[in-house]
Amino acid sequence: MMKRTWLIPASVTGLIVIYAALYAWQPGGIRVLKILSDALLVTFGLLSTVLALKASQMFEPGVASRRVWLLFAVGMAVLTAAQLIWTFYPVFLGQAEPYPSLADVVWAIGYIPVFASLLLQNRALGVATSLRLKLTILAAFSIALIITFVILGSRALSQSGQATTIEILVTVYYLIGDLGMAFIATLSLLVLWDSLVGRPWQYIVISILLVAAADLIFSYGLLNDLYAFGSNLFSGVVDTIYLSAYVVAVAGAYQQVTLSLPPFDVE
Amino acid sequence: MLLTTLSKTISQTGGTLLANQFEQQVDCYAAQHGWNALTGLTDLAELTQRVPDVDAKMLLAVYVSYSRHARLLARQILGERVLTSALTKLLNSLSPELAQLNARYEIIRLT
Repeated sequence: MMKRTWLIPASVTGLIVIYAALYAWQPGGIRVLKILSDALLVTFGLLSTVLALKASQMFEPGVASRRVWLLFAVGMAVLTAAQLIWTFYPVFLGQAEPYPSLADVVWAIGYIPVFASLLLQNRALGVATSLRLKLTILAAFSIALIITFVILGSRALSQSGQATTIEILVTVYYLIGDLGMAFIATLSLLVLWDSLVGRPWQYIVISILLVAAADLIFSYGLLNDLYAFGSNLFSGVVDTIYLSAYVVAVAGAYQQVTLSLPPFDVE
Repeated sequence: MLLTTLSKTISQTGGTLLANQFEQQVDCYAAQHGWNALTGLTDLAELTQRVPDVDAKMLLAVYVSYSRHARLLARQILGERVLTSALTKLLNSLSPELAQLNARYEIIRLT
């Protein structure tokens, strides 16, 4: 029997298309869409936490991969808590989310276990990556970071007074955190890309790259007053990418939980 | 030794369930090729307890075929780089006598 490898990517794509359609259509108005979006982010955050915990139990105690998935679960739980705080402002207080807010502090904390998880995963593989390759990837991400800083920095300076120091610091933290995680995740993916055990990590890497892209575009939108939830295409793209990152993270953890060899082919 | 290393590496990177499936499929391969009947061994690990009463060349052929299939399967699961790393560690840990034997019969190969 052929293993249905298309099922997870098809489900992920389907969910994202449905969300994008709902975002464009907006049944019930922007407020309903906002509640739905936040609820979906929290749901997928919780789902990825539960699945990552389950994935950690697939490894014997003491094995590094067990700690890798455990740390990932902790990270996702903290990020989900941040999302809940973010949801609290518009839904319960009826006011726009401040930036930065308590949610940003919790988000910043959530990055730490996720980063530790990726670092441990990379080390646990026990495969030495050549210095040249490491430097090449580091250079690529550094260039991306510099370009981002130039674009966002010049915009922030030209609007001096509008962007506070704390806003700039939070944005810088997110960007360095995102690209740092993407760097480590890419190194691991280069080792695992052609393997069955690498499949969950393909999703996790894509998820992290999506978060990096979303944060980048969101920061640009904030500085240029382009972001306004549910009001324009720019915001739709940002919010869809954010949701996609969570959905893909769920797919990665689910892939790990359901990882199995195709049945033995009897000739 | 080879199967233990491969199974342990799979268990550490993909989980115990995957490692169990790997062992089962290698055993299935052995059964499919009639080795159990030929050698009287239930699985390859039994070789550590007793040597079957068969021709040494035949036993070597069985072992080489077994290990090549195990390597092929492990490659699909682990990918070339993790597999090579695990096998390199195994080869480096072999005693000089076993290393010499392996060099002669190429039972554990990096490629």
